[in-house]
Amino acid sequence: MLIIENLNVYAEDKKILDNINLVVKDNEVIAIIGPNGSGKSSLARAIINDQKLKKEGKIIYNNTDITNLETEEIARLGIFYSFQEPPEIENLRLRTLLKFLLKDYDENKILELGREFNLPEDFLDRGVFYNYSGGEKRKLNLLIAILLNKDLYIFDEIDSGIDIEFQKKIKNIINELKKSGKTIMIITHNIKFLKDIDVDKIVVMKDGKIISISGKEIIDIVEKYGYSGF
Amino acid sequence: MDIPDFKQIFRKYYDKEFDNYDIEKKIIENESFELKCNKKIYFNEIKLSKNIKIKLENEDKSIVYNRFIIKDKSDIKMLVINKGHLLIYNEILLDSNSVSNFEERYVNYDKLINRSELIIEKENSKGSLNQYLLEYGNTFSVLIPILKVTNYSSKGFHGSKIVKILPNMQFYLNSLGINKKDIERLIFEDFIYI
Repeated sequence: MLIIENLNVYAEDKKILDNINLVVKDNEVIAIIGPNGSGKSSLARAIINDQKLKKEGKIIYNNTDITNLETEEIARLGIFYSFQEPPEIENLRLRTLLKFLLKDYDENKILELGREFNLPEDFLDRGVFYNYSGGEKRKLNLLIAILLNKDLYIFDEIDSGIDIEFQKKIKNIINELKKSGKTIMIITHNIKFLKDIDVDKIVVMKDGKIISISGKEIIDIVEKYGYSGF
Repeated sequence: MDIPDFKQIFRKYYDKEFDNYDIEKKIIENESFELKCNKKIYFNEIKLSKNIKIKLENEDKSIVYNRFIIKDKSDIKMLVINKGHLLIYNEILLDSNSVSNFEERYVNYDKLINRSELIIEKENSKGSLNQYLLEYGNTFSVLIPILKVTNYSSKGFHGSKIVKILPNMQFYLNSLGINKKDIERLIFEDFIYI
């Protein structure tokens, strides 16, 4: 379970998250929506302790206070964050990275997944995220997520730049992850993306604040009226 | 084989001590090779028409001069690990109708001076020279890539890159559970893979 208590976050002395209180239960799928700049990604980066952000308040994950834990230690507790814009690491091949991360590295299985995801044939020999389009980066992010088999997934704009067909695939994967007992946070500004996902809660953020927590019924309201009515 | 004037090539980086060094000459044809340098001047004339790999290690003070003469097609991958004071001069000469991609990877722990010249004087040839540098500790590295294409029907390209782990890369890799020490080790492992 992830518990966020009275969280204030500052970037270069500007308050970007204001008194965030949120509970994500085990095996829950929670969507965080809101207009650009509402603080969705900042919340995710605060959870994994981006050192550029200053924090007040508490973040507890499975009874461990992770507020000021090193990012790599937070990851080792079972949290995966798929970056919206992952860095291009030209001089580190994906194969090297995965061999290090996976105890049961199975190249054939990974190549099969790569084909399923329409990744370039040489994706294991390429630098991590190097020379990929935005959509391909998202696919690669998802592939790494699946392989790492974590407990809590935070998918940040995973649907962005992805064609409709592959979006369906992502939705299926998220639903399957839920069925297998994972906890998932989906950050998106594309409310339609949530329609076929088994979402338990939808959190609406605006100007760094949580302004609503509800069920899927909010999708129709946001689709019709946008965020201006909140 | 004529030994070039290293004093001139390396100018201010040349140490008088090198005047007393023995010269070891070799002619190599179409073969990958490894060289452990040790207080000498090494002069290798390398004739190529196929792909090769070269590994060079220096822990002392040495000069290495590699003269590549390329016919047809040859890609060269060269890894240099320097833990001492190394002056290295690569001269790559392309014959007519030849294609060559020359990739140099330098891991430098100490003092490294490199000058690499891709020379294309003959017709219908195409060459590239790419240099990558990975540094550890307080190092001194100078890479000088030179491109000389004097025939209008030929083409040449060159580039140099310093491999760095930028903060956003480190943050991403940290988010996968990898600490700084392991990140450096992984980057090194991949860098020396040629």
